[in-house]
Amino acid sequence: MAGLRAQLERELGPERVLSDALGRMLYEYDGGVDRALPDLVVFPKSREEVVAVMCLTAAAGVPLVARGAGTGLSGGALARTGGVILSLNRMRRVLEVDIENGRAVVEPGVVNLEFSQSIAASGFYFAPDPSSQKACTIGGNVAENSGGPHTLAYGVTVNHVTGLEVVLADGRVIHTGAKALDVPGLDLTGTLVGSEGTLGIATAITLKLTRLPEAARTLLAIFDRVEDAAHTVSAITASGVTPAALEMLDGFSLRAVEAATHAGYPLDSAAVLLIELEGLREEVEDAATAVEAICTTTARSVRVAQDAEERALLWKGRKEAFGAMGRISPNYYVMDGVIPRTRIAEILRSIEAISAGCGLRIGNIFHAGDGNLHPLVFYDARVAGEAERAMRASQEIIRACVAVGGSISGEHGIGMEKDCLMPLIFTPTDLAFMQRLRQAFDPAGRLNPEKVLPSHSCRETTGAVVPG
Amino acid sequence: MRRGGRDNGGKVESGKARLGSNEVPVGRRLISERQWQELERLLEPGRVQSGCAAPASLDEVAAVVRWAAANQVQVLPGATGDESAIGLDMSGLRRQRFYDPADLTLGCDAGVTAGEVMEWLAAAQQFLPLDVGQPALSLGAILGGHHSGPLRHFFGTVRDAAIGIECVATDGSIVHGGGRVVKNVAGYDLMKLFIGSRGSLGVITGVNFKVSPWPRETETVRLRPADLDAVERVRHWVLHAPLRFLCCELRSDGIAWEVWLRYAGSQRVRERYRTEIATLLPAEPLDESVWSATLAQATGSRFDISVPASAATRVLAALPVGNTASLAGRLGLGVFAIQTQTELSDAEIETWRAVVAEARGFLSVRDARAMPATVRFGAPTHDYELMRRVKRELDSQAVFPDPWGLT
Repeated sequence: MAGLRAQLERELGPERVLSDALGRMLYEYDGGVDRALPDLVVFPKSREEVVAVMCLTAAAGVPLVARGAGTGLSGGALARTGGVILSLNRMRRVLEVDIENGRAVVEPGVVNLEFSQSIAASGFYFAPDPSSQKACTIGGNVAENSGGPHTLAYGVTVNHVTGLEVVLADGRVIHTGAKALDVPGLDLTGTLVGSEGTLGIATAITLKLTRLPEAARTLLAIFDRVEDAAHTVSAITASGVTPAALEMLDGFSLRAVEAATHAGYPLDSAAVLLIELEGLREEVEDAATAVEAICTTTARSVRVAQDAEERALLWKGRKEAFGAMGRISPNYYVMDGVIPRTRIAEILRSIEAISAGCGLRIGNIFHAGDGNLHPLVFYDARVAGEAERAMRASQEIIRACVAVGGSISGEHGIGMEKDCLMPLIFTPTDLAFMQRLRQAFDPAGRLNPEKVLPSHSCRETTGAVVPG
Repeated sequence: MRRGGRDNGGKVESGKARLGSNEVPVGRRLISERQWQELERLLEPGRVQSGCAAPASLDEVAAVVRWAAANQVQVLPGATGDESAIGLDMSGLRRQRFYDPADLTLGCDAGVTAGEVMEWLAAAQQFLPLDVGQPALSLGAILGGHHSGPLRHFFGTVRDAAIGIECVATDGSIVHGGGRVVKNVAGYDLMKLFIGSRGSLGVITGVNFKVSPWPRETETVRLRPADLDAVERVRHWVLHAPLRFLCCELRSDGIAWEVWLRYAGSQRVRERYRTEIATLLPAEPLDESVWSATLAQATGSRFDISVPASAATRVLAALPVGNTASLAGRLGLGVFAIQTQTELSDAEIETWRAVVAEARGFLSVRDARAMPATVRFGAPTHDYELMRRVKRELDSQAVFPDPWGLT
């Protein structure tokens, strides 16, 4: 590693190669619970430097792991088997904004929200809005195929990326897709988005821009029973109204959030739905009337944000919810699972039973509109055995999601958190096919190794369930 | 009679057209009588004829692919075969696997047609953007060819709607990607890989979709821009307007231009649309049935063009419109299908392609006639090497067609 370090320092300068133990420790974790210490961290500023790092690490046979802001929750940006972390957050130029074609080209280190704010005057924005959008990078969004509350109406990252410049494991630079649609050949752009840095490293990303809505309205439906909130989600989905966002917080979570953010959530309720409607002014008014009518059949009350300030406050509670949980528990584990939207009430009952069984509190803050759960398992790592119980409870929740026809991740990715759970939803044949796809891109398996597909440590995992 | 291509009502392409060659491909042999007999024993009686196998189940598809791999015979999903390749007629696989209207999800066999799906969904006031102009086209064909229609303007394509896929791979194994929930990032996105792959990586046998609610009240108007400059002004206006059109379609008979705008909403919402559109150009109401009209059959050559949307009218102005029989496309997206009156020569195709390429766009030919991949799709660009690696890795038995001449 010393030889590689020297080579990298010659290429990038010593100030952009991090090798001391203390510095590397900052890259030992992401937003999740896993830890892995890299041998080196490098900070390229250009595609050419990424190519140089790729070639040097390839020659040395050393794993390379791309990293954005490190806000991921599945260990995707951790150097699980050691090696070099390629921190891309110094590649943060907006290369082109082409409003007339609804496109922009950005480097991977551009921060999601900063980019949307920078083009807001044009009337357009980048639609994916993960909760971490103040900090997360668009390169990270591409790697994880990130979602967010508003993906209910607008789709996830892959629906908003039309082209990529990618450095492959052998150092070659390819361009996939374009500003134009329907590029002849295989859809490599769609294949690369969400591949968690295992197939190549994006150095430029062509984004599809979305027109800002003329109007938006935010409603807070307040429920005395969690089941009523869950059934209301199904009723809204079935009604033909597609909200821009449809979020749910259970009573335990909303009280914690309210204490931290003072968003105005009612402390005595069992659950709330945060519903956002966007579009043409008249459309939004019609949809709000329809949604209010649906909610009032089961909700205690429905509050409509009266102005932009109140709307922002309601969203502040949701967007900062995970951070607020630190006030009520020394540790918590954010899960990510997906279920059919008609099974929300059932799965919440299962989670309650799992909570009782393991003796740990579990809160629920999630994207109810697309069935994307984020149970929060609260524990105290200082208490012997609690962390292990939390992990077991989390796995039970994921198995419960799969049992009702769901998936093990809706937006956080597989990373090193869930690679061993992949056989729950994919057969060995499916996984072998995906492995062959990976080999076509990276024959040596050097890019972000032991991620996405089950690693060697997963041999004991059994019980594949075939989707579909 | 088992050999040689046959006319299948335009539903499938001939094997030779798919291969882009009149010759038996290198490394391929003529299918022997013994091999035909072997194949016949794998399927129910009567399901092998005219160079085509028509499996009735997933297991039979897998058996055909395994037979093909063992006998070095090419399998042409959705096409008829010839002396060295076996076509695969997927119309025997047309089950609805599940439909959960409350969850807005649907799973189907790949042999189900667009028309059947739309009928199932309409009963619950739901739909998928399968308005490709050919209700008899199967889901497998729509996915494999990544076909789309006017609703793409707002709703996207099957690429945006597919949440799970099932395929038979080169060794006859059955492979799944995605699942049946509307949001899912587990594993590699095999939906994206297979959609638009034109059968080159495997046989699509099943697909799961997220479906959308269909608006209760829709309306369509026609604008008649005087020329392409006026068409561009419409495109620019649509891009920047707060209105959210379902369709923004450019149509031409080679002489005049029309833009069809479709929108939805309550009476007052539609009134707002009408008012705003009136500030742009006079608009005539069109009956909603115009959207379900079947596209005219081909007479000359058919081209698919995609360009950055702002370059669309510049490209269309440069094309030899005199030979255009019809043009239909998504004005806001820069995606068009052009039908010529007469079949164009390879040289004429290259002339058109140069115009499109200058605008950083792409031109593909959908002629049924045989032609090399470079003529059909254009010269390879520099991600073709990676596509070649993907093709070789995933179709290691070289069972499936190679529409882009990758191998």
